[in-house]
Amino acid sequence: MNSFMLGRYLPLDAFLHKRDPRIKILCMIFFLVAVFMDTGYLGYLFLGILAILALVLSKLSPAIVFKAMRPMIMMLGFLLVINVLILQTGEPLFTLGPLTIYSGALLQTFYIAVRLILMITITTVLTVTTKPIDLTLGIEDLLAPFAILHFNPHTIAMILTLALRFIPTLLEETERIRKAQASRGVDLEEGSLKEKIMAIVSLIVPLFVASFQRAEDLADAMEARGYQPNRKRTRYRTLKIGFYDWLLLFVGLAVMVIYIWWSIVR
Amino acid sequence: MSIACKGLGHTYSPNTPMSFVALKDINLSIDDTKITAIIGATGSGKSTLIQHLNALLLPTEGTLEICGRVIEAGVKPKSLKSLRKQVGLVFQFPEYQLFEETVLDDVAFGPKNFGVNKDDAEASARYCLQLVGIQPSDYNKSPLELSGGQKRRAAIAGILALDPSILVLDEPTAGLDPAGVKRLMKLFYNYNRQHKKGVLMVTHDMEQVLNFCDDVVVLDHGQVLSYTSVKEFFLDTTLLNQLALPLPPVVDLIERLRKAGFAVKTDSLELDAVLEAVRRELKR
Ligand SMILES: Nc1ncnc2c1ncn2[C@@H]1O[C@H](COP(=O)(O)OP(=O)(O)O)[C@@H](O)[C@H]1O
Ligand SMILES: [Mg+2]
Repeated sequence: MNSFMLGRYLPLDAFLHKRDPRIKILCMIFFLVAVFMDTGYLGYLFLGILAILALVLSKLSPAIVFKAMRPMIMMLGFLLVINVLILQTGEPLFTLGPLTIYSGALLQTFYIAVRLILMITITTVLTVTTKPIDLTLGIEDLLAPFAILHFNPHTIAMILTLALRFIPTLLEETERIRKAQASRGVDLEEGSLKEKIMAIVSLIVPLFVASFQRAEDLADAMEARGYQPNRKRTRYRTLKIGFYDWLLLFVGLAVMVIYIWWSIVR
Repeated sequence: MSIACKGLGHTYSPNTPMSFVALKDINLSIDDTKITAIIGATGSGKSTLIQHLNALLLPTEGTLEICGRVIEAGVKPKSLKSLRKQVGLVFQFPEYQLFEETVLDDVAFGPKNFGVNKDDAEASARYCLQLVGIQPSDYNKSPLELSGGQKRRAAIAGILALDPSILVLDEPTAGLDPAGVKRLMKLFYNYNRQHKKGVLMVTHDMEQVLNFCDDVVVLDHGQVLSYTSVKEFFLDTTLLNQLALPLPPVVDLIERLRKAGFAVKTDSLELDAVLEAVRRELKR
């Protein structure tokens, strides 16, 4: 459960927790754009400082980011191998049998690693400081302009909200079914391949049945309460943008503009 | 033999901000030839406790001795499969665990996992389905076609088919119709009395405790509040008041008479015995 850090909300009540979700989403996008501008070491250094600042403003320890990073380490290793095999730019550093390793390969991998770390840090900051429900409200508002294209942002937001809402329920359900089947002698660790497949089937089938049942019940309950996706609805939670939110937006926008300009003049 | 908990404790997600102490310092020695009820408010740790009995959960403190095995906090137990066969655990709402194509296959699934051959597994599946009262015409249906009550019974048959020496049930009758409840309770009673197997049952129904159980464990906020025979439990006025439970009619009668200043001296909870005690009191 604890390995599942990416995309989890932590109720810490820090500066960034109190900011408007729409502003935070926009700032994340600005930051990501800046990350993809080619501004050399110095640019990444400043972005790194900004990312650390964001961690401080959300009272997060780097350990949490490290946890969120862990699934990516494998991917980075894989990338390194591919880069080393393919890229032959820069100085040849040393030779291993038939393989010559160039500085370009290491440099390229390093760049990608830095970008990934920055991206993961900033998205983790967003999800850790924003309640899922606020996140979907924010997304809904930001998608509002697309309504002209006969595209209903509210439906998307509702789907996201429901999906997020049911993740913990599904995890709980999986655990319960796993235990129930373990009581009937299902052993996911030992046994032959055939037994293992049977074990997985014994988990998946009840999980599907329960999920469909739940979805149907939910649809009935929503309909019973008069939910209609295409009707206009008022909101219980309203989002308000305050002084610090404008400030944050300004800083975020400034960072992006500076980085775009920097990458052009460089 | 008995099931012995010594200083047993369980903490969910230990060493994290979400850590939660669900059981602490449980000391029990449950007679596994009897029917024992486990009662307590929602969240008092009943389900947590019974999941220790077949080692689905492991104690984070203390030890548990069951079926000749010792499970100790911090020691990873080896090959739990034999224990899971000896201690059959029926979860709350077990109907969600049905998954095979036919009812018969689903009930035979458990025994097959424990190495029983196909024919024997099917034979015991048929026997157990008949015990829980499912018609042979339903054996080859998909479990999803059964009614709610039938699903529950099929799922219970799936554990009975393991022929466990201790049967543990988590609120087995919750949400069933009265006739279905009675049938299941009789089944558990017979499983204990005829087959000489231990039965532990989590329940909220005091009628069931009174009519079918021998002993009662009361849990409260993860601790054992009392562990007595059913008779002692229902005659313990202080405890009953503290628990504020809906009482079975006989016990309610005694309680009301007592509150009205009419002490009924009885050590039996049979209606006739209680009425006899009332008559004796009236004659004095
Ligand atoms: N997987 C879990 N993780 C964290 N806490 C849990 C978990 N399961 C149960 N709990 C908590 O432990 C306490 C006891 O739960 P449980 O044993 O299910 O109670 P009961 O069965 O008596 O209603 C409850 O407060 C519950 O919230
Ligand atoms: Mg429970």
